[in-house]
Amino acid sequence: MFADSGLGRTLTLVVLTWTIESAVMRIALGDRFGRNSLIDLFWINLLTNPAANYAYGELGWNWWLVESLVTITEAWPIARSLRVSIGRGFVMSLLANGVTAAVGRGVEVLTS
Amino acid sequence: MKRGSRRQLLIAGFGACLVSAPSLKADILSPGSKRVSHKMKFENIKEYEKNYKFFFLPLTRDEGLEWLKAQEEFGKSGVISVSGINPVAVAVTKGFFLVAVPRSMLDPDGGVSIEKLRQPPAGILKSERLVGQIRAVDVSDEDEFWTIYHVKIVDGKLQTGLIRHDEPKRRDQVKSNSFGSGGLALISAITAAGAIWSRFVVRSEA
Repeated sequence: MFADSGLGRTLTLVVLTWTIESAVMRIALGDRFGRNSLIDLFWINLLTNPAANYAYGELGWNWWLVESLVTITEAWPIARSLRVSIGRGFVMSLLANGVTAAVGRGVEVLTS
Repeated sequence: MKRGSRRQLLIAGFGACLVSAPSLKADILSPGSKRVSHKMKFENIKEYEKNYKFFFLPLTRDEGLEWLKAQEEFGKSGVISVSGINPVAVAVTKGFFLVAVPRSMLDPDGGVSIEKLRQPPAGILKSERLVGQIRAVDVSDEDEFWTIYHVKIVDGKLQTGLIRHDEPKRRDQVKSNSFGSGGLALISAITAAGAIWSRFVVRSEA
């Protein structure tokens, strides 16, 4: 089944994180988060998500380190996409990735 | 943004969170991993049951009937399944501990408060920190892991000697799985970087 394959699972996770981050950004920024930014955010997630999963799942890197690197990496493209300063891009990256990470952690705590 | 569309977006986002929860959980359970059963056994606590009642810290988040029942079970068998214990509860107690409470210091219901187990007053004996829990391992690894301790109470001190501890396979001993492959991550990153770059260039030229 495609969803169980490596590529399928990667894309599923990218789309899920993209959906959550898009919702967070739309709520935070309103109309300033438009169609172009939505598409940019998909590519940004494809840039970081599979690499983060590899670093965390395969290389065994610390979860906090991986999340921090993802947030830092996404700051510039997010800032460029939204046409804001890198500082504000970092804040948006922190917010979006923070919510995604919190949802994941929350699910684990509630179901453990 | 209009209030109605914001509300719709909020609902859609919440729905997405709910839908994605199992996959995110699977994501946290790192790729190619599976949940396992990890049990701890204290093989000889019966030797001391005449004078002491044994407790395991932590067991559940809340103190109450369920907690007391679980502790009773543990006190009888000396076996506890630690893989299902909430990691948050483990973090709160700063690890797993075995606690021996003299029967004379027990509450009338046969229990003892969590506070006394966490910071035992004189007379209550607390072990050194025990090994950590094993919750997930590589899919090719075993389904069940055991840690067995031998307990000794000498000179008013509770000692735990490690008899057996099943270690999961190290990462370099397991076969890499396809999902987390570096190749896929690299191809995704290069493709995405190219797409982002071209989109930004096209937009700045427009």
